[in-house]
Amino acid sequence: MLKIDYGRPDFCIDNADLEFEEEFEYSWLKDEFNVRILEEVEHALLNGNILYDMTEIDRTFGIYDISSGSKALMLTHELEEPMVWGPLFGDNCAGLLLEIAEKKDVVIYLKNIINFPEERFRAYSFRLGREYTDYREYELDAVMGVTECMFL
Amino acid sequence: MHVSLAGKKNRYEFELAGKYSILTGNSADRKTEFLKTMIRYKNGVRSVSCNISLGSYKIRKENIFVYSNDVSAIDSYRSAMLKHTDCLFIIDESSDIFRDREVAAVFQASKNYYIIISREIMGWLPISIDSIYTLVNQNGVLVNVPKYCENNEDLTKIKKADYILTEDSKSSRAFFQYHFQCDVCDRYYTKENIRHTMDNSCLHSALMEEMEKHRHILVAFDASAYGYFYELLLKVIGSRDVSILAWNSYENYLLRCPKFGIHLNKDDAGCAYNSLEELSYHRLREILSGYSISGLHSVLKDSSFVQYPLTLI
Repeated sequence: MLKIDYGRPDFCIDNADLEFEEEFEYSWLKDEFNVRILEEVEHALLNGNILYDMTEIDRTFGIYDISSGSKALMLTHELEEPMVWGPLFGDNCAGLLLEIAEKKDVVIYLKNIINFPEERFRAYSFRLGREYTDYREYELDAVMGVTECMFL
Repeated sequence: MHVSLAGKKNRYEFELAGKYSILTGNSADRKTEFLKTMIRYKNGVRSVSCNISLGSYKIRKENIFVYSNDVSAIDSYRSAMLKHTDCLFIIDESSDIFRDREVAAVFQASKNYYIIISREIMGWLPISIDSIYTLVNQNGVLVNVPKYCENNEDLTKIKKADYILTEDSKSSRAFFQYHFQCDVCDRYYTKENIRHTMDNSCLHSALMEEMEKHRHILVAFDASAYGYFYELLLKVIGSRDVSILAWNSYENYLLRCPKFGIHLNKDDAGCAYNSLEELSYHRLREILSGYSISGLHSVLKDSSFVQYPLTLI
């Protein structure tokens, strides 16, 4: 289940670059979901340990050069009980984030509003103390939640 | 400001204006890669070239400061930002300087330019709506494109309105009350028995309440400092038909009216002012003796200050 709270607590993953450096294992690249993250977010194909940009075939990069959003998704997928800072995820990560949350509890702390695919959205609000009844309720709750922690 | 940065793998061309520019948008659109390429330039990597200019003034390599996610700068950033002027600071979203309690005060006191890579809504920074950008690849060159608008006033759409909701000063509220025959919000609004001053951080919250009571609302805000709240306002508005007056600022608008004929933009504000709103306020105070935000100056009662058609309201 995706669980949403607001702010930037010290205990959440808010620096995907540093966390990824510490946690990443090359065995993660054997996981189909992680390969999908690279294809769908980075638009990259994995060949061995090298990533090839699908849009610019001459452009190659390494796993540590992927975006913070992709790193945050992989960490969320691989770690137990992930608690992650929401602004790490671009909107293009939102669908994959929902998929991860279908299989385990994922807590994200928002200081922005992530635009999720509305038809697949299901999440729990710590602020409301229950699941959102619909997507519009999430949007308005996110507005209030982000406002309340904006100056923190 | 024109930023041109070219390495073997990436090329960036940015046109920016004003003290703060925000790069936001999807993951993997090479925002952080811009910062990393700049680090390589600063470290003298041969295949990376960079040219940053403000008119005829060029920002040299030693006047570019880069704060990445993986290097702690929380202990050093204050002196850098306050000691130097007219420099460029490029900061990535997870930099630990954003954890410092004094960061808002430091940014505001600093006379430098900032490119901030972030999706976080930082309500403490007066960002102009038209200074929020995403990156787009145009024929192999990554350029900044506005997320919301080229110019703030492009967002203005005024239809029927019988209630004006504004975050501004007593002077602007009095201006609306004097020139337009409709209700204008109070200086305070109450939510859950707590009274809040109607400033830009709660305009969208107040709109949520007012949409239940009024059919035709005009929301007026100083777009040159409203950047971070605009997304929240859009979410509240949703599909409702709400009129918007997105002037750069009330004072900026008054200065442009025929009486004064002074056109100020973000380039005029540069990095000496935190926003065009701030510059415009100071300029209006200089030229209009007795101007204050606490009341409507008699000069401003002239009908020539109404530049939007009265018949629409």
